[in-house]
Amino acid sequence: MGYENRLPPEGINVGKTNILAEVFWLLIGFAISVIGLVIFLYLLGTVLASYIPFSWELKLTQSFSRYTSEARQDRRSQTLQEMADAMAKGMDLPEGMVFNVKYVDDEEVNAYATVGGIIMLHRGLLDQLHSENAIAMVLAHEMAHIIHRDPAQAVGGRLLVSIAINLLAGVVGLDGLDSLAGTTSSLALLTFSREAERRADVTGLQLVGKRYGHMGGVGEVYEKLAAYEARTGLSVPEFMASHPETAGRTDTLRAEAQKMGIPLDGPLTPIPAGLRLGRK
Amino acid sequence: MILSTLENLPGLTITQHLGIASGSTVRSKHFGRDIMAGFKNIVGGELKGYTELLNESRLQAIERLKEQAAGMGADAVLNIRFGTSSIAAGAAEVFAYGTAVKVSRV
Amino acid sequence: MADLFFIFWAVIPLIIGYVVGTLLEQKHYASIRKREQEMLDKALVFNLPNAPIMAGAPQLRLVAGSVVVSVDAFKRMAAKLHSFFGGRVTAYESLLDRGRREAILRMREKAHELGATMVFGLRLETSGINNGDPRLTTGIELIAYGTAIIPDSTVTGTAAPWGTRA
Repeated sequence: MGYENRLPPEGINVGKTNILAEVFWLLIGFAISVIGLVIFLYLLGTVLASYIPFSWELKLTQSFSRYTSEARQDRRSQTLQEMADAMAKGMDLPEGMVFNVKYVDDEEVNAYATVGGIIMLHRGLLDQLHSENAIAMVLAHEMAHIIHRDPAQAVGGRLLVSIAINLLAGVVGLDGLDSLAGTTSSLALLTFSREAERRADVTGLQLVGKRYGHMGGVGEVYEKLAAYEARTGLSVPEFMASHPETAGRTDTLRAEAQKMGIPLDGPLTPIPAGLRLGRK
Repeated sequence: MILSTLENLPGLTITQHLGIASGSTVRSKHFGRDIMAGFKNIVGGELKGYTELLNESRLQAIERLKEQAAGMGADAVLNIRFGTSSIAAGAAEVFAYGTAVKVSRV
Repeated sequence: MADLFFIFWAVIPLIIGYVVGTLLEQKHYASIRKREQEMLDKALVFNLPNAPIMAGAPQLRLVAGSVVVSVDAFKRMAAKLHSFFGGRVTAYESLLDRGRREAILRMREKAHELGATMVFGLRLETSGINNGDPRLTTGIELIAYGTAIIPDSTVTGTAAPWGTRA
């Protein structure tokens, strides 16, 4: 019965793989998985949100009435509200959908639609436009977002995505990897917002074409916004951030108008008296 | 290769003791299973995903133990013991070790 | 600005971890292999519970060797990516391997110091060192312990009490 110690062969309990190559492939796989997960969850969120009736959205925002009454019910808001209601008349809107248009008297160049049918237009943007047609296009674009339920869908989609990213960070305990996950998810979501903007342009055109009979004056919106961006280096959220190509956009609009049978030009309606108070 | 938790094998004599052989492995379950386990914690019961994980690890550890013992020229590994520990989030290590020996029939 | 922060806090430790960590690991392995070669015929170790009968009255002492090892930042990140997908986490395998061999070596060196020729009843334990949260593991502790047999020096005879190599 002899006793000795022999050395076992190396490399059995330790893998011989190159760790750099492994990490490289793992990172690629990780980015792809995150993008796939984010796209799937965002789509799921939008589908689920579109089943929530608009009346629930209204009820929700009415409980935040402090927010909506920030811009007083002034003459300009009323004028814009009348313009919106005129364009909405005759359109086949979903059950109970109403628009709540407010004018915000500050220099910010912005216009947006949010849940509950609320549309906010800022003075900074409206001051740059010189015909009722152009202002109507901005209004119609925002109304289109609400008709498509874009605000509700965005909330639903982003909610699901952020739940997923937080679960990821919590369970696996990423640090540095979660900012990678965040960036890839933002990039993935950019495609969705571009698509929503494109559709809002088309429906907005429909609304304007029905009301005014032509799409004259509409191009001014995009020209002025592009010039503003070039001048100040800022990007106008909602309009420009997710769609870089302004020239392409005007051409696309013209093509869509032709498809819908809307004439490209016509007499421009001057800005209504209600909006002209104190304009420079 | 004979694997045993005994120190003497009935019917065989040990001709030479060769030292310690060990096999170890570190495995983890993927992200989806972790989430399901989190939900399962609410109701309790067996976490099948993790049972599977540790089963696979145990088998792999034994495989490596056999490889090491064979590399040392052994016919059997006696007095096998296991150890498990959690290393980092979601990763568990299983190791098996024993004494590698040469045996012959009585 | 945020990008600079990210690069500084996240990427630089990874690079340092990879370069220096790999170097240190190779040095450690070289040291382990050298010492294993040296100790090949000293303080033989087995995990059987029955020690052979020796002449005279040999002394029995409890000996232990332990080490706490940690993995470098790059491997830590690699392990997190591995655990996202599941399967073998190769980053930690080399860590545990060299930690275990180091612990056993330290035990044998201690036994040899005491004059023992064999260590029986080896047991190994592993545990993760963290502040209660396994995601913040700072290190892994490995212990090897057993019973060292110190032969009776009063018994004459130069031959070792165990048989020669087969």
